[in-house]
Amino acid sequence: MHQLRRKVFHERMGWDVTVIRQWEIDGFDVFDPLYLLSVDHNDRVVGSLRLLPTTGFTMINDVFSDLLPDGKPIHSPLIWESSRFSVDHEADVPIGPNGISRATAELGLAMNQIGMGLGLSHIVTVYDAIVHRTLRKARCAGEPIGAPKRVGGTLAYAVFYEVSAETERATRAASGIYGPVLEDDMEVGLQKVA
Amino acid sequence: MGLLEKYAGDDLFELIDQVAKAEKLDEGHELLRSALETYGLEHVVYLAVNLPSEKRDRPLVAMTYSAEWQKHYAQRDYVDIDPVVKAGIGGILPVDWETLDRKHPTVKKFFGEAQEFKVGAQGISVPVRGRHGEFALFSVTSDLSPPEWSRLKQHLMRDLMLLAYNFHSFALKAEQIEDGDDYRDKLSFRESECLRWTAMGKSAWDTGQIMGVSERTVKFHLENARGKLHAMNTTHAVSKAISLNLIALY
Repeated sequence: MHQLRRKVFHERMGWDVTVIRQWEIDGFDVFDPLYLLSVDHNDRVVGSLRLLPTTGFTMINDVFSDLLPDGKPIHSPLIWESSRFSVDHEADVPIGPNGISRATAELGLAMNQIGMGLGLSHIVTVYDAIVHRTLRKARCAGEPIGAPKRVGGTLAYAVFYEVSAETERATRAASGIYGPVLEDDMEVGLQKVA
Repeated sequence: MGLLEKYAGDDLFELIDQVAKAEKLDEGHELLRSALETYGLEHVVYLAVNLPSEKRDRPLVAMTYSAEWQKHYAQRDYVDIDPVVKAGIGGILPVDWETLDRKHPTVKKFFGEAQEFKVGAQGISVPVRGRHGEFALFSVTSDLSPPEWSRLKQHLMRDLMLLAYNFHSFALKAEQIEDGDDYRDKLSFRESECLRWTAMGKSAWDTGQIMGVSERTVKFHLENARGKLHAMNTTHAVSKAISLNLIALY
């Protein structure tokens, strides 16, 4: 996962991120986040994202606060942040009528399912204009929280997703994935906690 | 129906505000426990580590368990081996005690003893992350039968997430740790605007029309405002915003 993140953020997007021994890793990885991984048939990580509650430290509040209305933080036990969303363009496959990729759709569905199990209301995230355009084409873009702004070399959006059955329906329709996306263990575990 | 919906609206706000006004952690616990007992819950346990207070090098613990179990737990330094603490502290997902591996003899013994001291047959722990780099775990236990407990849990999750966080905020206050909470400073203009229209009886859809944003965006602003005001729901957030003079109704 950290190597995929290096590939995406360091090599492809050219962001100013720290790479240690081929790993992209940052200060938010120390807060025991929940990582979601999308793997292919050979168990290779094709996509990943990182979840953190907005009551603690998050990228949207502590790095990208310029993107928020009046610079005010997002802060609720029912709103979590997704960050470091990465997909491997070489290994990922576009599916569905609007070209959304399998890993993207799986990660979105998994995030929504976990959120529903926990009773979350929203997931917030910051992504760039290219991701926004791709997701909008697939009708899976988030709703902007404030106006997009230039951060470094790219135009960045702060957006929110509702955690809901409607979000699941839209993502399934856009991707054509109708089966379960979480591993069996995880599914059982969640039912137990939910 | 959620746990707290069963609790009539005003009573619930009162309970949460009462907890917030309690001066000692244990008082807050007792208040919560008596309320939760109505729903088949036995005990409430709160534990926080890595708090910024200088005098505290041990975890902050408060629980409604019997004095005997508390003494037993403290004497044996069980906080260091408690599998619930171990599992909860390494992540952000709630931990159902049922899913913990009890094969290890120490763990088996621990749960056996806990049972003797009537800790509760079932339990769930909700982790809380705060802005001081601290970590808290809020647990409730129950003696309901497994099927009843599993039903209750499904309805309980969101309420527990809210209670855990609000109890943690109260604990910080009881420990005189600066929460950095100046509500006036933290609400964005749009959030106060959404609260104000809601206070005037407008629905999220109406408010969206007035403000020229989507209904979803209004709901998001209201959720964020609710979180910052440490309220249990939108109505509670509105009443807090009014009493704190954050919104003017004219």
